[in-house]
Amino acid sequence: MASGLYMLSRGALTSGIHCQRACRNLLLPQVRGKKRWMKAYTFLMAKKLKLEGPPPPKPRSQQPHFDYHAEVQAFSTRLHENFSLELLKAAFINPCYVRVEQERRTALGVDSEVTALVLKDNTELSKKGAEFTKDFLTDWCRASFPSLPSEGLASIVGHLTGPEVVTHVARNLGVEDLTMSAEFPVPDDVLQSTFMAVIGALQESSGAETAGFFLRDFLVAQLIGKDLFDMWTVVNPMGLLVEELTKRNIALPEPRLIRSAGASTVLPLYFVGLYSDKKLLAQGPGETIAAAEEEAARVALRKLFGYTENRTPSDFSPPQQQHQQPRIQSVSSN
Amino acid sequence: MTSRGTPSRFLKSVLQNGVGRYVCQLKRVSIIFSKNAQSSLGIRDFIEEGVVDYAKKNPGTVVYVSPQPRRIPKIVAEYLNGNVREEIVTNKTSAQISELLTKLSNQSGLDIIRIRKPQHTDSPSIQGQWHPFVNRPPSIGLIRPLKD
Amino acid sequence: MSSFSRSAQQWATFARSWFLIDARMQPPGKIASVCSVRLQGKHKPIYHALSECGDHVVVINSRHIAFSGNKWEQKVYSSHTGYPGGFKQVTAAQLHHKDPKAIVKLAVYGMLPKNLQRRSMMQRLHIFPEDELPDDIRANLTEELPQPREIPRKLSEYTQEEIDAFPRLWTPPTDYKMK
Repeated sequence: MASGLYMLSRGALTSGIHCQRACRNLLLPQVRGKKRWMKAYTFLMAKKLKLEGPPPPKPRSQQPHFDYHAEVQAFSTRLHENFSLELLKAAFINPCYVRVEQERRTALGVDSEVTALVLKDNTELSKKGAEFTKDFLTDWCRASFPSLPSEGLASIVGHLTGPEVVTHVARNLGVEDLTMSAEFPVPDDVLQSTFMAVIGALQESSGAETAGFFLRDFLVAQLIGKDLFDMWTVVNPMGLLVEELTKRNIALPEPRLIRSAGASTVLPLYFVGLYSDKKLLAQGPGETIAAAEEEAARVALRKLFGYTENRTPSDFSPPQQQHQQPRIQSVSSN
Repeated sequence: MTSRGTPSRFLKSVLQNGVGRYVCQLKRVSIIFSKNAQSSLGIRDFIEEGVVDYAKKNPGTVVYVSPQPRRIPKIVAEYLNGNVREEIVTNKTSAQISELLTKLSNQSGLDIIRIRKPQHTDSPSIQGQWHPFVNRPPSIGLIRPLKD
Repeated sequence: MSSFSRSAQQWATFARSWFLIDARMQPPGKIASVCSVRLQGKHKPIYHALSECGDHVVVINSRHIAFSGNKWEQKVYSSHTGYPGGFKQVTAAQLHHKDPKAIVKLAVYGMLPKNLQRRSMMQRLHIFPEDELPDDIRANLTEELPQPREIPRKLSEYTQEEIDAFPRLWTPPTDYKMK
């Protein structure tokens, strides 16, 4: 009897437990691995992103996996150059960064005399690099296009040293990651002066010749596929042509309509030839006769200045080969 | 079937690379793996055997090795033009990973999408591009009145 | 070597030329084959099937075309109006009498590819029955195409000396009676 009672009570107990479990399962049907909070969280994050916009870009140096010394060293070897690392590191430090860092330290209450901020900024290097770049490019252009007038040379050099080309080159050489600047993304003028400072550092550490090859390989290569008048804005090509021809004692050009097609349609084509002393200087197509004449003058100028599309390509061979050959190119360019 | 709707670009190189000198475009490689996960076995082997050789062979590439408690090991490659590629290396052997790294360091970092034309030139024509009046003697001239 | 600016080069390369062809005493099929090549742009090195680079062709003297054989009487142009009993058949001579442009036009139309560009290519074909051209079309012309067939000279166009100097196989006797 006692045992029977025991059995009964046990059964009641266990059934009660089962009942409890079943109830809990009904309330919280937990499935392992199913994160039901995830949906609400994702919605919240999406809403936050929509309200606040994407987070501001973070400089690479503040993201994980960045060793400044190793990066600078790799920068030097990647470009096959022998930078002095101190100079190169100095070249990446902009005055704006030094100023902001100083302010940050004073705000934090660090005593400027105990832990002095010994950072040399790149102002001098940048100035030196910019000067060297300008000189080298002017020499190079003069050697490559001997008949180009000085305005044209200046505009080509101005195009190559302008912010557009220089920042494009600097961004694609990984200078932006290493640049120490107050703002991020690095402003164009800061990036430009940093790149010039890198050139200055190269010139100090390896000499002018190596720096010249560096410029030739990275800046001058941007000239490939560029038209002369993309870089040099000439408003009145005919006036310039007349000026050039009088300088060279050639008879003045005479424009003549030599071809036309569809003259009374909305898509006419005219070809104007420029004759000088009964010889064809150049011909140019255009939508109107005036446009064709201007184009012909441009073509004639390109021919005069030796900047035609089929000119001999510039010499980009590596310096070792030039050492073996008689060094006409490097002597003339330096 | 057709690939017209897919993203595409033209053939190009970064900064005319190779015209003057060749610059390896891979600037940074981060190898992220787990110290004890099974899927990281191959990459742990690679870190023991080959990563030092790789770093010595490519001094222009900075290699970061970072153990993290995660199941999926990956290689993050950053290129000079700013592009970042992540490659998952779950269950790959050491040889496969070495091959993958070689491939990554040989790439230019430009998007790997359909290339519209297999050739490109910056100087399209030496003799000049064609136009309707090419090779026509000037004696033909304009046609004016026929028979009036 | 040209060295044009890019926009000017593009304008020149893709400009449409205007060709003139004289159909006097020419077989319409030959005229049409010359025209259809020019209208499609297949004579250009830049030809591509997806770029419409065809030129304009002006055909003059379409009234004076020449069929060989007895095609004027036996060649039949058929059409159907779509109504019951609407099947029309006219001979080449009748059609030519009704519309002197029709034979050349139909010949060119048949030689063009049967696609959506066919109608716009036909719009670039200008046919004139005589050799008088309006001034706006005359101003457009760039080049005259050579005639595909050399025109034989009529007996009336020979001078008496040329006729006399013509070599003869056989001199008829004086009492020979011409049939």
